[in-house]
Amino acid sequence: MKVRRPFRRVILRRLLIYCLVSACFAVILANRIITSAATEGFEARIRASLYHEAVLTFPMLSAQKVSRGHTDADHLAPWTEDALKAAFAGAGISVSPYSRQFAPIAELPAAGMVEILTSDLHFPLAYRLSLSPDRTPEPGSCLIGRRLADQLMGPLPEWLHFGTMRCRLAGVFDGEIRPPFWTLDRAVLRLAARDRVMAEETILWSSYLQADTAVLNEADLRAGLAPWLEAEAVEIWSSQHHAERAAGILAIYNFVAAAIGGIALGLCAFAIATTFMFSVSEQRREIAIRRAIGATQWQIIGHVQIEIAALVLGGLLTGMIGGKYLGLYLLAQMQGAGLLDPAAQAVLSPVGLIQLAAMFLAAGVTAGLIPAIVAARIDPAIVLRGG
Amino acid sequence: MSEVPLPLHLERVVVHHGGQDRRMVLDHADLTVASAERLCILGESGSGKTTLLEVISGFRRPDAGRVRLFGIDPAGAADRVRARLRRQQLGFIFQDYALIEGLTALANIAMPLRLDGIRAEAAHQRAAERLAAVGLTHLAAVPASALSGGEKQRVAFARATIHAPRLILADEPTGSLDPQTGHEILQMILGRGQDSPRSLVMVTHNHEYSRHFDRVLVLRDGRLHEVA
Repeated sequence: MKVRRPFRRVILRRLLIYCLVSACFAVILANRIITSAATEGFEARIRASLYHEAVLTFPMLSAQKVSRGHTDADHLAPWTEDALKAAFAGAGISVSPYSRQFAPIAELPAAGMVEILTSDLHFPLAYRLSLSPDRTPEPGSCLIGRRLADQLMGPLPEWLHFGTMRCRLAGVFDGEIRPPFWTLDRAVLRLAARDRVMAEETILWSSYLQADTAVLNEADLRAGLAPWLEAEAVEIWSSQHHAERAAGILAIYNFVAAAIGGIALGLCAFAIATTFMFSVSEQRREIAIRRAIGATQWQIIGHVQIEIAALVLGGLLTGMIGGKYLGLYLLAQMQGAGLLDPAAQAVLSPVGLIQLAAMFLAAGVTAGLIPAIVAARIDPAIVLRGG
Repeated sequence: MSEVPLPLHLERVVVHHGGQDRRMVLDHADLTVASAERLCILGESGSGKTTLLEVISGFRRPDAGRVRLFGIDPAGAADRVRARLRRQQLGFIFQDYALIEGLTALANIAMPLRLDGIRAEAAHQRAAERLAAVGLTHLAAVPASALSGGEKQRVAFARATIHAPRLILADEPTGSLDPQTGHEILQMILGRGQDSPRSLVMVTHNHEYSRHFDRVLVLRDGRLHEVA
């Protein structure tokens, strides 16, 4: 025989809990879907390059064979490449000095010639740097940073000179972003003014190292560079650092996701506890009748808890379906808007899903303990008293 | 051979009501109910009839005295023992029926069996038999809230007797009914001609019913007085 529950308020409250659990679980699941899609590629990229990449940055003057009078790129590049290859050839490491970054240029003479150029004209486009004046860069033309342009005092020159080369000044770019190190091949080449007195901190050289299998840890790199450079002067940013940084970012991301989940979980638990407290107070007489005709306190607790568990499970089921479609929809929208890699795919492990659901269930049942205990302690004598 | 415990034995039971101005509701009350005995307890409103039932059923612990329900102190026993006592040995009939309004008549009747761990199918089958015994088979699927007063009390009676209790406690069971229906309900409760004899303690303020009982007591000034 079916049990009928015509109490509208009770049904409405149950419905509220059901919907709340569904919504919260759906939000958490959708968030998890997007997070997994956003981080999966990231993690894979880090894993692929983990320990096999490094970036070296060191002052040129710490290199023994570099004289102060020979600082143009034509001179520096071959020497540095030779030095690094000599240092690591025996270790099976390939050296690709792809980035030549000279910075900062703060002590420019007022009237000196300034040379600055990009090695890649797509650089401003790739990093959304605005150009001024509004000119389209041509091959062989140069860009100058806004800060440097301000230091020139006066109208911008048409030509920029560096070493024995020159290029037409295509424009000024704004922005001081520092791209991630694996994009340094698009970095700006900056040369100091011709008559500028160089100091160790003014000219830096960056090189990118990659090994097929060897682990590029910091100690080995320093040891390998020791005959060629003042090892203490070398700044090493290995992929170990990168991985640590990435792990930190992921930890923050996961913390935020967990916080959202925790808030949703807490909200559900609070709603369950308060709603069932109301229900218990409204059903005092019904509970007292059950007690009077022989229900134990444990049976009353079980009765309340089973009801909560059924509601939470129902809500979880709906939330699981809703959350999946919500997450996939949002993922598609974000990919369409260019916020996520179009190839990124959500990865949800069944174990993780079950753990999440179990956590919800446990939170619901725990939250329901208070009203369940209150219900179990209702005095059956109120039946006799007509209360 | 061990002695079969009496259905009910109260010895010098004292119960007070209220806080500082405590009023003695039961004043060293004594009561013994033998097996298959039908006992009527008369009393005016406020005389302590309901309190007496609370003490008997273990809902209330007396301030002093001794209560034994089938040899067990109901108020002092563990919750599971007390609950088992209620769903196996006792049958309650209340003045306001105490049915769960949202449940059907059948589900209400089956509840003591369900609480006792009997499967739903078997419990509902026995409930249907009890419902037939009180002539309400056609109302099996009707919610208790849709029943009339007489029908509710019949359902309540069926619920109170579905597990063949050895003692029925009835609290003004006809108080909310018209005389004709009240008389019919009383005859059911008295259980004339039934197979398994059971004891009955009924509290009422209606003196007319007293002639149907084996023994009649009057609760006055907190004590139970025998009526010839």
